[in-house]
Amino acid sequence: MSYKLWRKAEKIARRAILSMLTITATVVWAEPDSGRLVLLADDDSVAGTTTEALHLGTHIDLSVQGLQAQVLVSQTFKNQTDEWVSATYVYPLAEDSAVSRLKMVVGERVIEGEIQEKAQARKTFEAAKVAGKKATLIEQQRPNLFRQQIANIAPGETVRIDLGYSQQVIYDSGEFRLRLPLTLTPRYIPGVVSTELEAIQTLTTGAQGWARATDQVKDAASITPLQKYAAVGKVVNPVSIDLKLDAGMPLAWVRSATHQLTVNQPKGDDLGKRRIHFSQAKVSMDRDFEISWQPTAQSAPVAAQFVSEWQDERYLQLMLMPPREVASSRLTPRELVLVVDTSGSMAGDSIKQARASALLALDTLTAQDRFNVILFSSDTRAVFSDVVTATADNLKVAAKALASMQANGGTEILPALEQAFSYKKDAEHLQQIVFLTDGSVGNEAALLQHIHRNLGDARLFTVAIGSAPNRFFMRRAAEFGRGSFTEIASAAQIEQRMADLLNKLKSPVVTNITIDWPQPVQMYPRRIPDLYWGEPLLVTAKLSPWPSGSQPMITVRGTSAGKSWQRDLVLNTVAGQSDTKLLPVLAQRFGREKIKFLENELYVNGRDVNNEAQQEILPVALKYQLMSRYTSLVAVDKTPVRPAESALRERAVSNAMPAGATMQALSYPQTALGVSWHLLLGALALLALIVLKGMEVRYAEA
Amino acid sequence: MPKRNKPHTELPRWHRGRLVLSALLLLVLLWQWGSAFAIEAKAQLAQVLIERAWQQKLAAPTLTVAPWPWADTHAVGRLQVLDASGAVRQDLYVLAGGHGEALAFGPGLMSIGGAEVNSARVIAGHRDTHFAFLRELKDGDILRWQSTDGRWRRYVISQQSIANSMQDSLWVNPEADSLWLITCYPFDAMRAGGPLRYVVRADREKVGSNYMRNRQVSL
Repeated sequence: MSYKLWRKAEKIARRAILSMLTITATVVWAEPDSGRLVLLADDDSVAGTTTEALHLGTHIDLSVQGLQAQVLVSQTFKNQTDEWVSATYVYPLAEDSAVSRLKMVVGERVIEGEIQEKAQARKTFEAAKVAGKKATLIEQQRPNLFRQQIANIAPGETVRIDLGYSQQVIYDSGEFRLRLPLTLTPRYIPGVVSTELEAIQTLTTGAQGWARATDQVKDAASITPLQKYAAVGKVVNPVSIDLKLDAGMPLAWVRSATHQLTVNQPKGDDLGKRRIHFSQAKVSMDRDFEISWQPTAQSAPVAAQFVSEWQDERYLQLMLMPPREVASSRLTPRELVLVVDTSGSMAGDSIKQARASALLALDTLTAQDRFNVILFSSDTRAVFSDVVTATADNLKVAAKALASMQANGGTEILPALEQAFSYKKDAEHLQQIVFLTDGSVGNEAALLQHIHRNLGDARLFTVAIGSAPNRFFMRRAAEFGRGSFTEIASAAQIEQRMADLLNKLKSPVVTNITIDWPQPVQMYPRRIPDLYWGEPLLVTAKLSPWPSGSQPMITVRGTSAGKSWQRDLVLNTVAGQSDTKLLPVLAQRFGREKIKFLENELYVNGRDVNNEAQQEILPVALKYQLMSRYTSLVAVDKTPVRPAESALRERAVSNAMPAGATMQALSYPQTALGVSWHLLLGALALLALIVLKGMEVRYAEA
Repeated sequence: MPKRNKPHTELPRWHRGRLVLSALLLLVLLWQWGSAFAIEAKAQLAQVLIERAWQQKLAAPTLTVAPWPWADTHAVGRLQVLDASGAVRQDLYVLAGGHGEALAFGPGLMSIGGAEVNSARVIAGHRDTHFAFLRELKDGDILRWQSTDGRWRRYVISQQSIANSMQDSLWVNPEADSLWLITCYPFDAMRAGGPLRYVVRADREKVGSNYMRNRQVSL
């Protein structure tokens, strides 16, 4: 019995083996390389980025004197891999920053950078990179966005990059304000991906961003760095700060809406000085840093002048507070168009802040006013088909739309602005557009041109929302729109800042401003804009030195509350006879303002006709040693360090995601079932069976 | 002891062991190849069932139609790969969610915030079943996506990359109208569970003049 059973089993086994053999043969022929073993030497040679390959630490030394802030940013890059690395880091700076100094520190060695014409700088850098020399190149992508490359960082090595620049302190609504961008909101790149443009793109070296060049944003790959979320309790891209504040007047308070600060008042010094640090030694670079201070009530400035001399020319900055009265007797009825960004980048805290701000703006409307609300993302949705009277019912409808809006989709600003500009205005209404957005788009130039061309009699007021808005676009849009710029960095600021804005919306305080100078002058802004409530007059000028004994007088004229207004000012002499060889901050500020003026002309024209802009901007940038769209900073170490046989890897340094944002970082799912593994195990079993079979045959022969 | 003289009545002990081993090996063989076959069968069969559900869904978009009574997922879109002549080379029904159970039946649409019409879509699929064809895709190939509104949108493959899932997460701009296809890499790896992923990106096709002209001709 048992014998028969065994025999039967053997028979079945033999047949099964035979059939399996046939199947295997078929499978193997059908898929000739199904059994190929793939070995990967280095995983991340193919991966786009590595988050931790390069560690970034930042320390910021800030010194504020009067209206100028001098900033020294020290970035420390540590190569944590065992390969030679080229790092690419895209970071924002203030939109009005005059970037002029670069220092590369490797161990004991200090290499000073210099301003070079853009193409030349890139050539210098590329040559050094290939030769294995340590080199740094910083290029301007936008006035507030810079791309830095560091070539040939040795395994385990630390390189420090010191970047020096100055920025203007803002004085608005009675308080001084300084904002340092520390990260960026991922930019929306409108347009269609264009392969022809990518051929040009490949000329740019360094790690590329996540977006591809489109017909509207040609440098998309250079302005879209990878970004990472700060996990709870973890610090991403740590930053520390040391701020020396010399306000020049006794201060009522110093505070920050974005960070917790430790404010010390140095003993024995006057009341206007402070020494400020973050309360925690290191914080994540996941939001802009904003600090504001206010002078005591009796010491609020009325006028201020700063003068310095360089190369036989005097540079002057003048700040003047206009009268504050508003002609309340004849308040013009308004036509208010609220344009609210509901794109994906607004998701999180930003959309809530936008909602609260928009509702506050609606609150101020009276029955004689008219209004509309436009929500936009990939598409534009107006709440009413045209502007409507601000009746209680209409306001309720708008409030409901605002309450139910969701952050989703793209940031197509152009159609939304087109819609806002399309409403016909009648003579007795003052047309105002309030634009609430984070401005995180890549096609700023096209938008500015559109605003310039279609503004008409309307006024555009921009409100920057979120932890890291695109202030360059927002401030410039407000200037082009002849309105004012407001920024809301946290929920706590909404009420105060919106109240200031609503004051501004009532009407300009001073219009038709002109300045009479005693001698020929170059002054920026060239045409002085209307001033709104709380805004000072601020101009930067260059003129030839006046004799020390004389007291030249300037006269500022304007129209305020229907009456003409006039102020006379005696020009100061140069305060300290400092080293005139050293480029003073004021001279660079003048250069920066001049470049801004020339750039604005470029935005108005839409393109650079006959390279005129380049021919005008380049000499200014070179004279004042400034970074611009046509000049870059480059530093090269003389001695090659990387052995020729070692390869160089391109690495990107990730930025932190702005706090409160909900961008999409997906973790990869498991996407294999191991069918081949099953097939392999089966095949192995088959092989063993064949071997057993062979042994049986041999036994039989024996 | 006459029985002992018959050598064929009982097999030698080692021979018996050999048979047991053979049976075990056969079992392993059947089990392993059976699972491989089951995976393939499940993947293919499910698509047929989902196709039916999808047609019903298109007819009544508000309904959530389960492809089979106990299904814990539903179809959210249809993905096609077109060749140069415009013929459909691959036709797949995409399910909701990128989790393991759903992926066995079809590629899964991962959830990234809102289901905006013009937004990024990330679709994951198994490299050994539905998404095995990803290795053959190249830049410029055309994908078509049909969402529940029945409209087809065309996308052009613009990028193929390999990422390490241990180190990175996939960084998607949710606002860009694009398709992202993800599968495991290398395609020929024996074991499942490796860290590498193959990512194909396709951007919304520009409706150029050329395309419009062609369309007019075909109309």
